[in-house]
Amino acid sequence: MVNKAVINLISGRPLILLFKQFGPVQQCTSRNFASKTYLLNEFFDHEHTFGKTELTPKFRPGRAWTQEELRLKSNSDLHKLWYVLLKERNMLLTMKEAYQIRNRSLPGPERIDNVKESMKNLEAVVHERNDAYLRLETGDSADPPMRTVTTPLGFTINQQAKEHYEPWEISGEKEYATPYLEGDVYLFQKLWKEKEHMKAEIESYDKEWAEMKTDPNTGIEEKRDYALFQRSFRRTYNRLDHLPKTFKPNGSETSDS
Amino acid sequence: MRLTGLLKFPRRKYAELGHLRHIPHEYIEKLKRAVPKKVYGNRFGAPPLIRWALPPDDYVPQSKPIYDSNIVNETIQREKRYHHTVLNHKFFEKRSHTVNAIPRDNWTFFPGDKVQVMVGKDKGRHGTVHTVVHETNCVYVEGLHTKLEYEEILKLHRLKEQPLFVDKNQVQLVDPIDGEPCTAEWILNSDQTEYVRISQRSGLEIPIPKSALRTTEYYTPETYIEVDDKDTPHNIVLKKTYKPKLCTFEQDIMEEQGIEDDREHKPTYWY
Repeated sequence: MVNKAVINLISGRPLILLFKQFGPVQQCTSRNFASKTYLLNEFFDHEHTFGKTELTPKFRPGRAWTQEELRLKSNSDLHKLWYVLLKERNMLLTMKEAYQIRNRSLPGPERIDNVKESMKNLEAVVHERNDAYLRLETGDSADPPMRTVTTPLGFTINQQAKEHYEPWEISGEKEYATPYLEGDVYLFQKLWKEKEHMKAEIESYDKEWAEMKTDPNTGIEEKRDYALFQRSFRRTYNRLDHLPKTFKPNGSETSDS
Repeated sequence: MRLTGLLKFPRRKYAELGHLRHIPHEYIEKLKRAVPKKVYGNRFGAPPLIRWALPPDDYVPQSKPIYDSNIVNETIQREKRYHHTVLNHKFFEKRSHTVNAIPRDNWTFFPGDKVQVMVGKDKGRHGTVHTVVHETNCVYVEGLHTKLEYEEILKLHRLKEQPLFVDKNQVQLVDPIDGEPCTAEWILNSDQTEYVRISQRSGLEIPIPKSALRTTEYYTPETYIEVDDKDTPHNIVLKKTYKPKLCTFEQDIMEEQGIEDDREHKPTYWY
């Protein structure tokens, strides 16, 4: 029987992935092993779908699990669901490979993305729960600890901190955090920033150029009279002050009007 | 229910409706082909070099549904051209995109709606919407606003429907009371439980047609065929089994499985 109130709650008919109430792992042996390859069959899709270009509704699973639906489930259920999803993912990837070898395409390729999305949502819900508990008990979040690091080329990036057995004074493995840049690294960073600045400038000029139109009334070609493009750019700049100023498309050369 | 939950406005469910509602977002992005082909990372902190199948700033939404076979072929041809120019160090002029999509909260047209065409040779005629393309604000009406086109492969002249743009008022909803064109807006109903579409002329509700609920999986939610092995029945999905506990996910699983870990954990250092 279809419960319409339930359908309104979730705006449609969902779901994927079988969610059998498994017992603990030991109970798996109670299954009926018909042949030696029984377990390997779980890597393959239903035989009816072999060689098809499109799946019939009977073999076409529904949408992914949403985070709201997963939040209703206990940790034990989520743990089991993860492995059900993992096995389904393995099966789909095996089938994709099998079709690719035979120069065909997998029917229903959105199934792989559905499973990925379900797993991503599951991980997010588990992280949420851990985060809530850890913040309550320790004050720290469950996110991996991050730190800023300066690479040998002088870029300052945010990286995940690594776990070590000894403090950094003893192990000596700590990466630099914004040191004083010297010599080649200093020059390299200057050149990099100059290049990025020019790229942004050229992009804004291209955008303005594309938006410029010819005036149908006066017949004046705006593009032809555009002074900026009558000369080429300098090829090298020795001072940052000499770089062309950031272009403002609405023509802010005169501050009046 | 918390008080803050009650004070909030209800969710605008109509904004989520669409033919591709249950298709994963990532898959739709792949159909657009504006996906990374290869990412060259590990460049000592420099931003990674991304080689695109088709650059995302070149993506311009067409007035056709994204799964249209012609669109898919065109995209693949453009992708090949882009790849060819990149390899030969030539200049590739990207398309510029100036259409602003109407926000989904303000969108009032659905498949199955009765509308009146306001432009062209079918001006004044009533028809039913069969396809809606949100990205370019256009709508296709069944059998109206057509153009005679010649297909070379099949050697046929065919009447092909042209898109009607909502933001340019080329099509308007029909008022249920008198059949005149009208504009619609969304207001909360008397119970404050859901949003309802009313015509601004008469103030009457224009109900959402049943075709609007259609997705790639079903025509209506009731007609969906559950896959035995793969689908979880809806009553099991909505069953609440979570009981909040003061422990981490890992600790809870260990308790359930009977795993005991009495090893002494030495302090570790994060840097």
